[in-house]
Amino acid sequence: MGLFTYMVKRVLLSIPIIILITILCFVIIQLPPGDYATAYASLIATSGGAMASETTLDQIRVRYGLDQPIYVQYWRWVKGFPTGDFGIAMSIGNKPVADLLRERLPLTIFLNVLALLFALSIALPIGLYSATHKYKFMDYFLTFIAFIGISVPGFIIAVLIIAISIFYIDSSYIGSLFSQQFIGQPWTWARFVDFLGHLPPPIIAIGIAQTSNTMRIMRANTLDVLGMPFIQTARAKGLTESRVQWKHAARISINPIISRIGVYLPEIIATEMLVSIVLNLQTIGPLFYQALITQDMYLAGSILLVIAVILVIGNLIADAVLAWSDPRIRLELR
Amino acid sequence: MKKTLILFIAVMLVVSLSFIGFGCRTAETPAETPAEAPAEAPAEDSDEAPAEAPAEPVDTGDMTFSQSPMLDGMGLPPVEERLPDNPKVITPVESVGVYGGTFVRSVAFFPPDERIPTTLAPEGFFEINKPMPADGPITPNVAETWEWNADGTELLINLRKGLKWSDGEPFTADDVLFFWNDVVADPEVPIIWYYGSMFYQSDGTAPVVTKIDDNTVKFEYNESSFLNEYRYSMVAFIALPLHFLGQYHPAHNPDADYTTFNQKVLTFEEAYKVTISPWYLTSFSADEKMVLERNPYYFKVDTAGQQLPYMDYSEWFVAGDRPSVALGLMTGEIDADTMWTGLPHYPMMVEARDTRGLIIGQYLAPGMQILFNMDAPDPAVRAVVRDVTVRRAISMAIDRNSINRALLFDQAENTGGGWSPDSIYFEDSWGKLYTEFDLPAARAMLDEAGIVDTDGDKIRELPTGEKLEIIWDLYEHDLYTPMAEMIAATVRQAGINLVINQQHQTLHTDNLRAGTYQMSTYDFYYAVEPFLEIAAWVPYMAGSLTAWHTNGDVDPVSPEFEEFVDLIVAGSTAQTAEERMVIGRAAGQIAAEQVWLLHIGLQDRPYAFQPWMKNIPLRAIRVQELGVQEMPFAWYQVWKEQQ
Repeated sequence: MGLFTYMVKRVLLSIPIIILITILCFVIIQLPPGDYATAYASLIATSGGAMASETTLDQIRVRYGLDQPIYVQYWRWVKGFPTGDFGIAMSIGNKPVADLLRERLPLTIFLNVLALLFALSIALPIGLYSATHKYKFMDYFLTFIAFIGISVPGFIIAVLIIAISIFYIDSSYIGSLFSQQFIGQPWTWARFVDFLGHLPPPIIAIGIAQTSNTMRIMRANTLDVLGMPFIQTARAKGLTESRVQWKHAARISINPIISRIGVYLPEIIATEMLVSIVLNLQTIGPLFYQALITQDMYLAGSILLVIAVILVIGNLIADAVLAWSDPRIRLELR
Repeated sequence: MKKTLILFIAVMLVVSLSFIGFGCRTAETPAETPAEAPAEAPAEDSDEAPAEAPAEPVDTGDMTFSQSPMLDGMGLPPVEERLPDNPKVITPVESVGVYGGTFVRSVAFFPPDERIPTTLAPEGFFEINKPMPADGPITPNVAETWEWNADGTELLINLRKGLKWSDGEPFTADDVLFFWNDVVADPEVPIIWYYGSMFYQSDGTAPVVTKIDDNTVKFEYNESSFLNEYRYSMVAFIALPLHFLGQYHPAHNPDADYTTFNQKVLTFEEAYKVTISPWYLTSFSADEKMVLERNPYYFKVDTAGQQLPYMDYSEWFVAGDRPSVALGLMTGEIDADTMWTGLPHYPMMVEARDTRGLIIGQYLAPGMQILFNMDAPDPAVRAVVRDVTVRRAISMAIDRNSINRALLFDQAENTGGGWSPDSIYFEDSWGKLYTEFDLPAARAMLDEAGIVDTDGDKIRELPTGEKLEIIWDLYEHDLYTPMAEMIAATVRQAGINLVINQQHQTLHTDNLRAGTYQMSTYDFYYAVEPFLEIAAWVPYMAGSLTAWHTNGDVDPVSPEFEEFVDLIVAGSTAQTAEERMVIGRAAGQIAAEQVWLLHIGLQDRPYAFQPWMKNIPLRAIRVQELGVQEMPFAWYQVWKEQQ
């Protein structure tokens, strides 16, 4: 079986998985008591507003189709997918969900990819360095730092960044991906520069745990690989130590990390969502949170669906990259 | 200057007092009162609620009007032509302001109702001077004059002549009818109004509104409604632009449909794009920001003849949550917040006050209210909560001071079962009955009533055998959850077991509304001006959210309850403030003695603004039953010192 056939098979297999996911997402969102109308009325009533009459609530349900059986609501939601219609976000001014996703998804993906690259670019060399300097001071020091990174959740790091920003370096940074004057504005060079300036805190907060994890895995893998016969052969051939480490050891040590990208993705997305809520980033995290609170089923369901699809695609890519990187897997596919 | 100021205030006080009290009378606009601009009023005076600074009436006959430089060169008619025949003259809280700037705010999220941005400047038929004293005075606003019939069932309103919408179109009686008849009363327009109780009568119907002429409308009610003067002072809308929104309504355009109209009429969609408020909506993105721009036809001027508002723009950003709003205050990213931040952020505010000069004001805000369901489904529980001795003992077994110290930074005020200390009906003699933490007294009270522990499990039983064990419904709340744990711990020491049952918020509200609870929790609302929201106090009435005594009309908990209900109903239809005062005090005393509703205390909630914001008072009153979610500041007279 060639790589292409293998990938086509995987893509076809993911279609029923995604359909199953849409059903699961929709059912999960409907699990809490009440619906959007009651959640909305309750929100108003508990903040001192008037309680809407049952008649009004019923009319709201009719307007949004909440009075229909769940399978009708589900069909109403999914039937628009082929045309890119994901329903309306009732809690966000009835804005089309597709518009919200269009605005926020690219930033979300960009941030996640950047956090992943940040984690890998820091973790791989450090892991390799740690392995080749086993039980030296820097190995202990980096291991200690890595354990801190693994232990502290990303959202706590986000809070710490804000606290340090305000209390110690007297900055006015309190989150967001843009300064106030650029929020809701079209992309310009100035906005892009401002955006770049706002990237480091969320990238650090999202990526640090994965950095630490990856570093530990890279260290352990490299230690294993360095003891293998082909490394001894490479050394016996008279290759320089750096060439042995980078060209031969690192290439093999990195395989388990590539295969773990599929595992990293959900972790990174979950961390990104929490960090985005803390830092109020213009990604799908804060939207998802609000959609869950207000029981905005179309918005929450669509976001869950998008996350699931990203994970499916992420796993596909991880498989493809692994096949590309490891000749043994390509051989197995044949 | 100071003597002149005192004289001016005294004259204004006399004039304003003439507006207090209802009945068959007309609020004329005397034109003779001279306009003295207290521009140099000392800043410290602003700490006191200037009830003595009525906005009207001031003669504008020889006043020269001016406008914001932002409007120069925009091709608008001269400011004199844009203002109504008789502009409303506002005396600023502290000083006459300087034009310019953007009022920057942030929100945790945009509530999908009419609160924001209408609370920025609700323009009702009438206006209550701000910061608000609970008893008025009511001054003309969109209504220039008005008249009641003898029993308060008819209200004739003469609209301010020459008033215009923000697009320059005239404001007429048709716009009033459009809102009341084609939006509020139209069943095809379902809107969950935050201020629903302002629009509808106690039976849920809308008043009948008819046009007398282009400038006069008549409201007809099926009950005495003198208190609507207050409601129509703080209401979000009293009219919508027929010339603009009418195109979407099937009653005014045969090609229109309700689906489209129901979307367009939402505040963030089209309804606030043409307004009589100081700023109109120019752009809105529910997940990012809202931008408002000054209304060039706004009908109010300051004492120097400057058309208000002072600030040209207002931008509101979505901060994501309350702590982020507080952080924005700390760093100076936003100019002020009076809605999203509170006691949990107080230490941050104090830090910013000490380091960056943030200014902190305070007002009494609702705290926790505990409701006993007098008609609880379980007869044993019903017997327990109906026993006044039990209710009093629970109240006395609550260590309010420790709660205050541990959770509220010592910024709360103990409150009894009656009215808020901010209410004009509050009296010291009974206002804080049974709020002293006194476990021995609570135990003794129960012992004397024969309510003792008969089976040795440290929980008492009524003489009839019912165990003093009550399930207490809560919803997740950053303050109420730990508060409830502290309360249950001390109350248990008196031999009463409160079993905390934390629920999903929707489920909690459903149970509260249906009366399917034993003991529940809500915010301590409707206790400043209780006659404005009598369904909260007469819980068998239609529209009562808390349903704590739905059978009160057929199976009243006690004779005192019947007496209390009679007083509340009488107070809500009383014609004069004096009559209402007597009734209000009598009713408050009964509520405090009977402890049907148990209050933990009012929080002296902080609000904050940057040192460059001017004309914001440091003390105000929040009257929830007037729909005052935001502090009742007159933002149109707040100005921003340019940095």
